[in-house]
Amino acid sequence: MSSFNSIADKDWQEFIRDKRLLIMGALTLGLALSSIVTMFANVRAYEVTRTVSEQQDRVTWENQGDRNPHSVAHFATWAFRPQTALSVLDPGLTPYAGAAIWMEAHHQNGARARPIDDKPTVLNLGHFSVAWVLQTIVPLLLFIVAAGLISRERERGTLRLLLVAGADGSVLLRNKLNGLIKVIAVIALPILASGILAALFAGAIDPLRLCLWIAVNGVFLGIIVVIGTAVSALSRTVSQATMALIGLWSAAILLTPRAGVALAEFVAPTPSPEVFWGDMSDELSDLPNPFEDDSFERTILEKYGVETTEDLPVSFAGLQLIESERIDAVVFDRSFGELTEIYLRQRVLMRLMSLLSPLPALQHVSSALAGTDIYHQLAFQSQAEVHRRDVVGALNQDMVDNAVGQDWDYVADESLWRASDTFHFHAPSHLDTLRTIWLDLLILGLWSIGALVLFRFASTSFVRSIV
Amino acid sequence: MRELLVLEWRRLVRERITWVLLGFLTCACILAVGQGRSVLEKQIEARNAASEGHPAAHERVVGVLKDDADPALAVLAPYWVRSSAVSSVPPLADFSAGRGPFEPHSTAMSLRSRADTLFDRTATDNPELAMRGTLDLSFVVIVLLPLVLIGFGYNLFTDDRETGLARLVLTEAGSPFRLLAVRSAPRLVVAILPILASIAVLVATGPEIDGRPSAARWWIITALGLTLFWWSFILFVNSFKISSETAALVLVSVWALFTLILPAVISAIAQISYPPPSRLEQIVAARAVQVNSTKTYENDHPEAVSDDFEGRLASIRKTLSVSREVDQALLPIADRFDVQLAGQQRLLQSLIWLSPSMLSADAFASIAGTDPVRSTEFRHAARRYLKKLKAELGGIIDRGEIMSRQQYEELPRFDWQPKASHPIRAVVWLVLSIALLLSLSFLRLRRITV
Repeated sequence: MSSFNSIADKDWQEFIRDKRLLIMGALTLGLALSSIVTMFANVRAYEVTRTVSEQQDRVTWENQGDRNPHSVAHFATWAFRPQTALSVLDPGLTPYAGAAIWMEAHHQNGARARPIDDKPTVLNLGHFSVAWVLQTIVPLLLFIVAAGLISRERERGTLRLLLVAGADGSVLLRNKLNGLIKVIAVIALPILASGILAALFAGAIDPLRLCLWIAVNGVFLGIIVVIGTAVSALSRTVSQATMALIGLWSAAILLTPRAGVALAEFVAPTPSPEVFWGDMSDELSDLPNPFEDDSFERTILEKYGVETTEDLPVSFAGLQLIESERIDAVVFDRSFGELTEIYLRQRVLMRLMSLLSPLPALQHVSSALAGTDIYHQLAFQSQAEVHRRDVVGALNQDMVDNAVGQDWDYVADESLWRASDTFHFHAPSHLDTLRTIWLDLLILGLWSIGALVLFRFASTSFVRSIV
Repeated sequence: MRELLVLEWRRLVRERITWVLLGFLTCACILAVGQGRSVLEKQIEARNAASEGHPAAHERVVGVLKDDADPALAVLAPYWVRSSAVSSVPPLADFSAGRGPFEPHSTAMSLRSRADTLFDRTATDNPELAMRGTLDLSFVVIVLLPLVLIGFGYNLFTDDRETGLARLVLTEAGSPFRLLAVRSAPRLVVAILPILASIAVLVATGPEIDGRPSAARWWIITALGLTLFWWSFILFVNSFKISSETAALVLVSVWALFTLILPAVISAIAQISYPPPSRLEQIVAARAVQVNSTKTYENDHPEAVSDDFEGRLASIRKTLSVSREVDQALLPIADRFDVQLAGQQRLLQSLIWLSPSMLSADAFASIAGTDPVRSTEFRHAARRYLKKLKAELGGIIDRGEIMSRQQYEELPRFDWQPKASHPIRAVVWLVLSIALLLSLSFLRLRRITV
């Protein structure tokens, strides 16, 4: 057995002597470390700015002076999405999603201020981050290293010698695999260690999410290593194995996720902004308008048993505002609900592509654990809308109660806006997050089993092909 | 020569790898054509929706501008005017999506619109899909085609060296040039065929857009340039005395460097060197200015604030003054954004030459009309137009006039037209690189026969 353990040592020696692989490994490591520094600087700067901006805006909000509450409802407040410490490791969709929502009266706004708007992109093949390096570059490197693992022995004729000497094919393959795992460890461990350190400095880390994040990325790299070793065992020459593995890599890592996007957009197309906002605006303008329709006024007069709005014990303008918000909310809920439904259908279609490559499933899990997936973004948007309705509702209610006889001329004092809470985003719980990714975890599990089956097949068939 | 070509062709057809690579490329091309068409259709649909204008607002304005109109209503007409700035359809958005999915195609504007928030309510796309990118023809040509070419050519001549047949093969071919030509032609034909077929499908079935045929020609020239660049690089690597395995490793590493690593690193360097001011800071600064300007009452219901002409005029004057004050106060921040983004773009353009993949991606996007330069120009043109529109409407309000029907008809219209882009510099760079690499390969191979 010890002689076979020495196979792993020999492979390791070969790896560190092969300058080509050493340079590639060092470059990958350098790339990962610079991505960590970049992401750390980005997340840190963003969080500092967000905290300061929130504080400054609160000061502005509280010191508006005496004003009409509806004027204040138009001025409104902003929700700024926080970035998690784990987004240093996997920014997920953060660069492509809006970070700020204006929670104004009469409008449910979309999230704005997407980092991608201010980022120069010429050839965008992924956001420069640890997750990108681990999920795109490291698999390429591992495939290149794995290609020669067994096929080189076969080319040199040393494989036949080992097997004729009584070596067990599957044990041999397992030892080869151990050698490759040593290579991953040398590359991935410093990346992970520095990534975790940077994330710790960026903010509070959820240990459960971090451990799971490391585990799923480890499983993914494990799948890559096992497939790489199996393909090397099944190939006649190193160059054949190299080309087969690079083909697999380009299909699984480059092509499949984008093919998933094409499929998702084809089956469940997202409406263009012009169509989405245009349709919503048309629908809103078709609704009864309490500011123009007499029917609302009649209903109110009837309800209070008075002849004119001046006789009402409450502010009619306030009631109009509340009714307007109530009517509009139905359209907002439906329009945004449909948009969310499209996003979730697209996610299901992307998940289907995980049958061709483990990457889409991994991206779902990895970004969910880092708090940077679509569910976290949707949670931010829906919490902001709830907050908007609460604040605007309270301001309108104040009009109803206190603007009697003054309506639009009514002015409230600062205590009213000071009483409203600042928006705080509450990330979905662990259980809620796991509920959104359990299928993806299952897919990754199936990929692991599939890779092991391939490995087993390779270990039996390559022995037969030689002896 | 013809016999050698036929022999090479037959050898290629017999090899399983040829069919695997061809199948891979064809699948990618089919998906790219499908998504390209859907991207372009969506862009056209979006612009059509934006170009429909604002019929309800138009009706409302026209309704109050009649001769017998109530002045208390007619005074609100400038407040109700809506206009749009719509960019023209990019000629080849189906070839290269570029920054198209991230950039606004249109914006609606009114007296209340502000330069800093003109493009705020635009994005509806799924960020989770945006994160993964678009599979278009330029992705196939820049990212996948070089890998297919590497698959075809990594052992083009290295195999002969490994088996000791190099001298014999060169003697048989007559000259290194003939050998390279005979080995290259069938492989290049097989690799380029699916791309050319995809281009033909897109051009034949696509809509008629101004400048599309000329743009398609430039796109093809650039794509051929990039293909030949990679092929000459493959020949160059093959001219060294190395094993097929090393050749494959070198080629894939260089591909990864040009296509994956340099674009990510250069983009990060550009952003670090010219960090744009924070959008959140911009929002907060705008609000601080806004709250100071609206200490007295301002809202979006001037019709409800007062029933008479004077009261409503005062209300929309207030709206206008708030908008002007905020625009003025935010000018320095907007300028800082422009300066930093221009700096990023400048740095990017100066480093882009390091990577032929980036250079080609930039060229493809600028030919297709989906490059950042065109988007920036559109944004600036829309802001200039907003200024003009607000000046016209503001003039009427400042003078306390009631807008006439003629004044309404003569309001400025957005008429910006982008210039067509020809990536001559990128093509020249590619041609020079091809010439250099081919010459070096030729010289190196000639030494073998001597």
